[in-house]
Amino acid sequence: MKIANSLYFSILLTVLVFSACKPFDPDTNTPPKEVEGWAPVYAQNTDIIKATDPQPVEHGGKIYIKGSRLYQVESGAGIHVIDISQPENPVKLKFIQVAGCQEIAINGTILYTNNVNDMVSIKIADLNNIAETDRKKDAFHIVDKNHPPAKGWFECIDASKGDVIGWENKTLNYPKCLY
Amino acid sequence: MKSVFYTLLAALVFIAGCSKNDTALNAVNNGVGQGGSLARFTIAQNHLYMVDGQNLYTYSLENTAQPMLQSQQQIGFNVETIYPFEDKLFIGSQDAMYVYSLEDPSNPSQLGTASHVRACDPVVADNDIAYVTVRSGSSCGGTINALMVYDVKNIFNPVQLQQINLNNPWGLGMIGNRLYVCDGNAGLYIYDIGDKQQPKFITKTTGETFYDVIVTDNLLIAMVDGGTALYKYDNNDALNLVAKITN
Repeated sequence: MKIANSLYFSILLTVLVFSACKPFDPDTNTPPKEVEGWAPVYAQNTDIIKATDPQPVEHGGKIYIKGSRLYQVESGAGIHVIDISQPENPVKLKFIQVAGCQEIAINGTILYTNNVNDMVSIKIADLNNIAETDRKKDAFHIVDKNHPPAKGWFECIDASKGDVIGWENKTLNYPKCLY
Repeated sequence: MKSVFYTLLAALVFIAGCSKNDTALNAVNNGVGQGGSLARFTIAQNHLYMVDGQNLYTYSLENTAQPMLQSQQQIGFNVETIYPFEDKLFIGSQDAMYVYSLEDPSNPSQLGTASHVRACDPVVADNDIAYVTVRSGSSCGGTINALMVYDVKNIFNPVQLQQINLNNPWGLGMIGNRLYVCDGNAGLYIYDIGDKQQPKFITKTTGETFYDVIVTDNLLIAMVDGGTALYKYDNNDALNLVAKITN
């Protein structure tokens, strides 16, 4: 993030210096060969919510405790459900697949989360048989589908690859989009 | 939400005191859970409150399976986190801390704004004191990395009481007279807040990159780089890592 910011300011500076000579035109702003920037993360059929076998934690996100269970968001992908009734021996029970997932709250046996920008309610009373009980389409704007989280170069969105469910920071080669 | 949780916890501890149950974490199907301080969703007074970058959304949970939108209001910009305390919501953003009253839970009303308070992540100890972390970097902006203590008795005019410089602090949690602050890879810092205005550093735990923490009465759950770490703690503030869930 910090890198992206300083990158942005260096780009801005370059642009300002450049524009001192002539107006800024993105078409003539040559993409760098290699640069830290943002790339869209795509998914197909993003509204399918289901419980699967436990998955490895790769991009661990926010945590939530309810009863003897720990829930950890897998950033952009879903929620790990972990039994910690014996803290020395935590047991992963299930993984709830939710595209774009970042947030979680639970009341009773209902789990609330964001499925990209839809707000969904999921009954988790039986982890082998979870059920979406409600969906509010485009309830909020947690995931920006059009722009990366920070200014700078980014990999252009290719709608043929699916829906944008998030962004990842990575090294880009000749990115063509600038935010 | 938290008070409900603590009431539940207190009840469980009471029971555990009789049954010698080792853990107060029992599976319960009712009630709400507990999130970390970085949360953007929170449940209080039978309502679900959510913030995205700019808005506060309020849903009634009268029917938990089908929340109903009660109100939506614009707060400001770069809103980061939401924290319920008693009948109030404290909302942190990159350039202010907003306080909403839940007198009418379905339509929170703004009580005040502590502007000029860069409050990426505030938590509140009582009606007078707020602890706030600020860190450099684009998600929170600024150049200061510190735990701030504010007197918020008058929310329109918050008074900074302390600035405790840290490395790169994120989430924080409280239980009793202890404050836990996640300072990234510098460690998890423990403060005595017996005097709420003057947190006193006790000790820290290192070995992980700490982002957020949930403290229950016998277990501390930390969001760390790569997953979660579980610690047991005792009356001497010793934290013992009992498990890590990272793969």
